[in-house]
Amino acid sequence: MRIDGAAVAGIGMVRFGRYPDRPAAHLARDAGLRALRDAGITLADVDEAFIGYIQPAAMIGIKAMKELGLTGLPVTHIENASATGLVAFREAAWAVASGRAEIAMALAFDKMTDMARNAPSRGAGHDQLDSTILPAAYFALWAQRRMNDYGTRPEHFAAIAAKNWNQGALNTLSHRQPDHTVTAEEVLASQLVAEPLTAMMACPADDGAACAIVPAPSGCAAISPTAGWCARWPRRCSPRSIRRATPSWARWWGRRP
Amino acid sequence: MSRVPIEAGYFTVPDDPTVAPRLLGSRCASCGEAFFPRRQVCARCLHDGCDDVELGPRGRLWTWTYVHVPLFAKKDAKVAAYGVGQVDLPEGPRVQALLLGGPDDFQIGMEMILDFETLRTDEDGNDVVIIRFSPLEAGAALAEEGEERP
Repeated sequence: MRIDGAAVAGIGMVRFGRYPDRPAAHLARDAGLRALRDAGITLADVDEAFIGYIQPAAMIGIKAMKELGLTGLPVTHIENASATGLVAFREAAWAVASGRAEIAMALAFDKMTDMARNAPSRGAGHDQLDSTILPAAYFALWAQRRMNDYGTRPEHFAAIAAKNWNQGALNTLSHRQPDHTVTAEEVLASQLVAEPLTAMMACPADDGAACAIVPAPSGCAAISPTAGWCARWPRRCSPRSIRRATPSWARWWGRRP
Repeated sequence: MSRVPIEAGYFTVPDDPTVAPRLLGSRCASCGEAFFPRRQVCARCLHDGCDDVELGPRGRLWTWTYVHVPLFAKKDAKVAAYGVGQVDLPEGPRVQALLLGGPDDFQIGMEMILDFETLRTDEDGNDVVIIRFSPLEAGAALAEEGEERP
């Protein structure tokens, strides 16, 4: 098997937020359409699709893809906790890198407003004992241990969170759009969720969708000569390739949905 | 009034209310590794056939947090906030459970002992209990079987 690599020829995203009245499949559809348009292709050009959605909803991948058309392409539903979208992207990259597909699609979406509404109070078996805390509290357990072992302080976590807030604000499609530069002090002063983590250190529970069109590098130029970037993979990204990538991402970020 | 576990098969509920519960774990008959909860196949040597053992009730606090926002808007807990920690048992397993006390009461490395938190009363009038660790120095309510109260 020859590993050729993978590229990104187009991306699309629905601004993250709360959409209690919009079905998950519609959020997925809108992100998918934008990515197809961005790459300048149609669904007929896509050989395989990977759908990331954390809920174990049967056939959700097929239902989401039906919104984009019926071409008979193989569709795989991926669930891998917080890394669900990332793994959908990884599988799309593997599909083209292996030569199995020429163009793959990674489409992932979230509908956390539904999760909060439908969440069972506890699972079964051992979950009856363990499901006493939010995910944020699991990270708080690690944070406490890290503080003990390495001398990390809440101020350090706050500085990282403030950096992320301000970087996220550069993306017009991110949920959180602070109207000022967020400071570490502000992050520390927000509501305590689980010692030592505060609300502003946690990500929001929200809805949204994102999609990437992932061709083999050899086909990338043919699809989209102006496409963002074509990274050889699985070789490591060099600082040079990251620099080269930055302007196009910045251009895309500037676009309104 | 009697006490029933939130889920059978994970911990003992002693008849004597002053005796600490023990965890229902396993010990590999081949390599001796201990586990909680119970399992059939050893995760270390893959030997098929672990023996049932009771673990605890003492251990050392490996990490802790104090949860101010309960899981998905307080469906379970009647309390507004509570401690959660992971405790290393001398037998090996690291066990996550509720903690008794406030955010200023916990220190990594402190000695803990198991007791119970009552979650609710069931339709038969029994107290539904879940395991919880308490700091030993703070004067834990329960003691190991056959041991003087601290």
